Amino acid sequence: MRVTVDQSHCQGHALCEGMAPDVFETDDDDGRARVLVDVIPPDRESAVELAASSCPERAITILA
Amino acid sequence: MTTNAQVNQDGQASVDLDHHGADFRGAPYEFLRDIRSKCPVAHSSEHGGFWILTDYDSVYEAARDDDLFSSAVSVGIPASGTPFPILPIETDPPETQQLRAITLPAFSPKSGKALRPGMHEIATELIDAFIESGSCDLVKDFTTPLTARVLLRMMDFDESTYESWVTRVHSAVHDRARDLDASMEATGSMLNELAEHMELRRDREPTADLYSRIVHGTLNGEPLNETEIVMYGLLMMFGGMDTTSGFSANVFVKIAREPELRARLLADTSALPRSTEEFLRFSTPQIGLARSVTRDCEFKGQKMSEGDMVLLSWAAANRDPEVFENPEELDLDRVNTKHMTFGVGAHRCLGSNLARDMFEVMLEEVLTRIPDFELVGEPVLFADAAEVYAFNSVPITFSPGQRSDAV
Ligand code: HEM
Ligand code: SF4
Repeated sequence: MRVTVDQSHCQGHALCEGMAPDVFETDDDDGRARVLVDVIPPDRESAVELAASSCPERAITILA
Repeated sequence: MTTNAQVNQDGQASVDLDHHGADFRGAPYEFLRDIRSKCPVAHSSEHGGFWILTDYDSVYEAARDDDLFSSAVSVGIPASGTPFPILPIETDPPETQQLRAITLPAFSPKSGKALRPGMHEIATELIDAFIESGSCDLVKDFTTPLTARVLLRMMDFDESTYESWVTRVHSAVHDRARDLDASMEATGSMLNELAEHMELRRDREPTADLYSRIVHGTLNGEPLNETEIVMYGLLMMFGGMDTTSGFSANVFVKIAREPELRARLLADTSALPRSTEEFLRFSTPQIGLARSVTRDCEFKGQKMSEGDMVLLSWAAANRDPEVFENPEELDLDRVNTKHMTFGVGAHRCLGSNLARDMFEVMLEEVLTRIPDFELVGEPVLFADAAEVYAFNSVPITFSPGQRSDAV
């Protein structure tokens, strides 16, 4: 599983970082979320799915 | 309770609703549930006429469509009445994003976490002041001073002046309907003080505190002007205090009234942070905020006209049965955390991470140091539920304890 954050939709609410801090991190300067890993470790997939479905801006897309 | 929510032969939906009124304040969720079940997008003729959106989909869609639903006129019904727009809340994209970027780093999860030791320090000091007596007012002696002091600390203002800020914020917000002169005077006095602080910071090197960021902020490549700076500063004080303090008070009252809930929270304090989102959904202190319609349109089957005001009810969306199972129940095991307590879209609350941190610190401190607190009489709500639907006075008693510095 891979995941992307659409930078034009992300508003930096950091819900994703709250749920999966090892995968998402909000940038110190512009406040938007970045994805820290290329391939999501299998044991983190459910946390990432939860983060994606919780993003209030629907900015997170999961790529199979 | 009657809302007269109905749809006429032409398909026009109407309600009788005064969201500032005493009836609404007595049972807001009954009003909102009734309206949502009959006509989720409906028109009220109060306050010069406005639409209210009460289902999750409508609120979500409207909040994310800044083109059609503008924040620039006012996010209050009736309008906030400040002499200039409050920034960034009364702006539209792309200015909104630029203005938010000025302070966003100070509101990141990391910044909030870094402030936590300081929050505990303030909490300890506040509880020390009343713990030996066995009684206090949980709002006036704890949640209000804590939130105000944290914000003043972030602004790098003198923290010991918090009472004067609290008094003026309350007057500015809550005297608006009853005593306009007093309200304007309080706002004016805060703007003057913000202007003085601006002068102090202008010629200094930028620092990381909130107000220095604002003083040195830019919009469209130009430095913010003086009015913009003070109106942004004002929102820091308006936005952060009563919302967070009131939300925490709502939760404390719920805990005091429900022994099972208290037992559960006390049994495993390490699980407290997981309960935050459900408490936020359930005890939201902000019933709703407004937008104005930018062109004639049809929205969810209703004909809206340019200039119409629209109230987006976060509180109603939070209890939409289409989205949340058993929405009227507080369920700490709920997996769905998509509440709209902080709004959604371009204006979603800048202080959401900070609010969570302050709440979690307050909850932990109270449950640790005065776990058996009980209500004395009825707690008192703020006078106007449309501004803040939360308790403003919560007198309690508890088994007296020791000050943290007792030897
Ligand atoms: C539980 C506590 C809080 C609640 C329920 C809350 C609620 C909200 C809501 C619903 C909005 C959306 C406004 C809109 O869509 O028009 C908002 C915006 C905002 N909040 Fe909060 N808030 C809380 C705490 C805070 C704190 C601690 C701060 C810190 C200063 C803060 C600062 C702001 C600011 C600056 C905005 C405007 C953002 C913008 O216009 O882009 N809030 N808040
Ligand atoms: S939750 Fe969504 S909007 Fe918020 S930081 Fe993550 S990706 Fe961005």
